[in-house]
Amino acid sequence: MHKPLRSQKFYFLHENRKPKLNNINRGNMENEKITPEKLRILAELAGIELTEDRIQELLPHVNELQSKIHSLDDLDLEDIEPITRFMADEE
Amino acid sequence: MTQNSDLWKLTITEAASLIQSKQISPVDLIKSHLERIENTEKQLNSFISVLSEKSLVEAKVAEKEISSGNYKGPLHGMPLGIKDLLHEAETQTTAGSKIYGSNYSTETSYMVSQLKADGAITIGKTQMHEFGMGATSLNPHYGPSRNPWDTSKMTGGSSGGSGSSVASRQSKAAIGSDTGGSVRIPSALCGIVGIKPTFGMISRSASFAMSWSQDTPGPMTQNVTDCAIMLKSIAKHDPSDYNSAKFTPVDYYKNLKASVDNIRIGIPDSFFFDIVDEEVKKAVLEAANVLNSLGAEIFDVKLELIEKSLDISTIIINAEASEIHEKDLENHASELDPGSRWRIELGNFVSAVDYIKAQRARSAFVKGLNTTFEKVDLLLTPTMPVLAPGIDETEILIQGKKEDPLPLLSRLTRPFNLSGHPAISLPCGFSNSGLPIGLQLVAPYFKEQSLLDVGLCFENATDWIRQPSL
Repeated sequence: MHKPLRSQKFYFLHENRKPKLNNINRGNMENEKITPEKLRILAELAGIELTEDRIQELLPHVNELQSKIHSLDDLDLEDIEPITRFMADEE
Repeated sequence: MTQNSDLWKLTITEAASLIQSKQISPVDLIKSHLERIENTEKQLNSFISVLSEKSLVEAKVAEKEISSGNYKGPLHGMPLGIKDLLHEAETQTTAGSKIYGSNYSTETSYMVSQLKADGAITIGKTQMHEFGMGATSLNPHYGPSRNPWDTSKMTGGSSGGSGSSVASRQSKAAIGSDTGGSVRIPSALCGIVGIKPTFGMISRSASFAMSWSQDTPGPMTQNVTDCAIMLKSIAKHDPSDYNSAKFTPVDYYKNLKASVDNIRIGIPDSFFFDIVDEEVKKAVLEAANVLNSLGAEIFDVKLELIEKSLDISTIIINAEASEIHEKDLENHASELDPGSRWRIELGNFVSAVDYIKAQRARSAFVKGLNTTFEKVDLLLTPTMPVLAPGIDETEILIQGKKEDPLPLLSRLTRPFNLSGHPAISLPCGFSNSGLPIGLQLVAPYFKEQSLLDVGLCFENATDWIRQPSL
């Protein structure tokens, strides 16, 4: 349905479950691959539970996605605003 | 006079003429199509549910309406396939997923209600890639749809069942939905006409979403005239869909004229012919020659950021799909198609900053395309880089390189979901092995009439509208 489904995504029930943010330096990810350890932390930040098998299965896809994200870094987007409404009304 | 048992062979236009003149009744027509489905469905798997009883009841109502002088137009009594992610009251709507296998709709989508108001009858809900999340229509829950030209081949997707039902004449036409090419891909691979209209032109209310900013339903038909009839019925503003565009409805059917007068066609100088099967390339360039000989001017054009468009599209679709299917992942992860599962999981690794940067890049891409459309009226490209792959093929060999079918199949269609421009796929040839080849034409926003007029002109000048010998 075109209705957003909401759920509580960030649920760190115990202080010791909080991911160690200083372990993540996204600025340096451009030239380095995401490791299983980093993926575990990112998954926890995103509020999704991943088993070890899922971590291994997702890892290549996440690295591919990250390379696509970084491929936009060299674009000159100065003065370009994001599209926030996608519909083109007839003029 | 056509035998009643052969009514399934007719186009909408041909059958409508017989219904209007009361030479045949909608009941005759529906019975003929139900028989066609019964004879071919085991080979094709076009439908998740066939609505035999419901469609016959509706055909009897249509018969009464017509006999009492209330003829509604060319869709009156026409059996259509509806992609199984669009809700229609009292039908099962699964979105191709086991999770929604027992989901019965209580409401009807605005778009389907427009078709029904024009007298159309849903004969079945068509097979699809789970949640529309792939271009193969290989579905572990409901089985793959099969290509009527060679049942060992894919239909493409995600609207695969819609493609096979129209190509095999199980239905007169079908509705698909297109987020990365899901109308145009099966249209090209199955040898039919399919249009993805301007984003926002067709309501998505009461349907399963995949990407709010790119989902676009569209008709899939035997030929261009039928496409104009279907588009006229469904292209309307719907206030209940936030992204429904405001525009003046057009009678594409009445206005349809086979013409390329004063049409300037641009052929992109890179990307669209870089990774393409030789037979596809030859057929598409020959199609450009045909249009040129009919009077269209052909130009080379450069599309800004076209190389980046797939990356931008992937980031946006993954993020949106993850949010949309958050609950499905949370509650039913193990029941998902593994391919859907990792895509839904993946979008969680797109940050808000990444998403907004992708939308900025998208904005730049759209600006570039709009500038190109100041120089030409249409773009011409292949719809697909390859012929229909085998259902069991996990890799496609093209230009000596092995490619993953999933990204490859949508490579040439996704840029125009990203930009929102309307695009049509037209049959433009067959391979030596007898598989259909599709030509893609793209127009500025709301210029669907140009796509249909040029498409009809091309269709009249060629003989690529054919029926498989199934």
